[in-house]
Amino acid sequence: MGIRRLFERHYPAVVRFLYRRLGDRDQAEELAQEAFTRLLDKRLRRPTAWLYTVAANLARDAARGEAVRARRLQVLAGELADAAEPSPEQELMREETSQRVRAALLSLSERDRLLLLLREEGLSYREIADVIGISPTSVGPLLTRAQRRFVRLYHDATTETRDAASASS
Amino acid sequence: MQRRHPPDGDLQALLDHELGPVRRLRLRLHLRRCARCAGRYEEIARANADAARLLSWIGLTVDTAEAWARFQVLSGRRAGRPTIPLIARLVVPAVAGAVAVASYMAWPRPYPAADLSPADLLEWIGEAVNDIVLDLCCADYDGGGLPDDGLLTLNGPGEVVKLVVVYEDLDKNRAFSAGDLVRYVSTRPTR
Repeated sequence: MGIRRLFERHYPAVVRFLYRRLGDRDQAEELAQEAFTRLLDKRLRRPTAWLYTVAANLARDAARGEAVRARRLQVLAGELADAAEPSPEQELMREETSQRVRAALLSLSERDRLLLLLREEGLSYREIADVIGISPTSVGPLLTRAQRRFVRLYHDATTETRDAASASS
Repeated sequence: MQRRHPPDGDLQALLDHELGPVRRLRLRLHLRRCARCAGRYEEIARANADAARLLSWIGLTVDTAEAWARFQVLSGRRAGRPTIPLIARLVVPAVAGAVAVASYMAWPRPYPAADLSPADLLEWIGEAVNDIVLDLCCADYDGGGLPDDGLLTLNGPGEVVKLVVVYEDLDKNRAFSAGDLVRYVSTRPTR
């Protein structure tokens, strides 16, 4: 498959994957471009898995370090607080929800996060296994657990926010 | 038949269409009979849908055309170069090879020169050839390892080079003569 077809088919998904992973659209686009540039001189049998492996590595490098992670969580907390400013109710809810989703995602382990995001972008179990470096038969059980954790973390965050809101009122 | 209760991973794989037809059928039959597993399957499907719904909150739309233009600039236009599909990379040399072989076969065959004497050659070329333009002797033109070959170019009416002949200088007189042997004639000359 030519680079243009690969680009058109996978670029939006790779950007979305990186954006969900990093929370920064500009950085996501920049890293996606970098991943595709590295793909240029390669002749690969499974370019999709390779592409996501590179993207995941770039994202990991970009987000490396507990300090970075902690700072991001602080920023998220600040954004959640800022979101309390008066604004149309729907917009506020949307903003709060997306921040909680991102926080839940960031609380997951790297492997769980990758499992969720790669599956969400439609990668097969084999491709996911290639990217993460596990056996394809392990993808199913790990994905089930990752989904459960993610949903639970989100609901816990929602409950905490609701409790905090009712305590302050 | 599915004898034991399937693990979560199998149910997840069923949901994700990652099972082969036989396992899929076995699992579906089991789910029809086992309410407990059917409940587990429902729970996994719910978590699956919930996770997808939550992730949709942090989705975004991407302008691929604009990104492609940027990518071409960033990659130094390497990305814009047309790539040759694999099929073309295989077929083109094959076709070229076949054409070359066909052309070679269709080309007027050199006279079966083994044992052709200079007299035979002259009879064969008849009046199509006027004169010997050049007689180069001696070198290893036939690759036999000995510098005992000569090269003739002969002209004809309206053509400077009508024919090329490689001969073996058997009589060692360092020129094309009656005692030599013709090894190669480029083509049958025509008027």
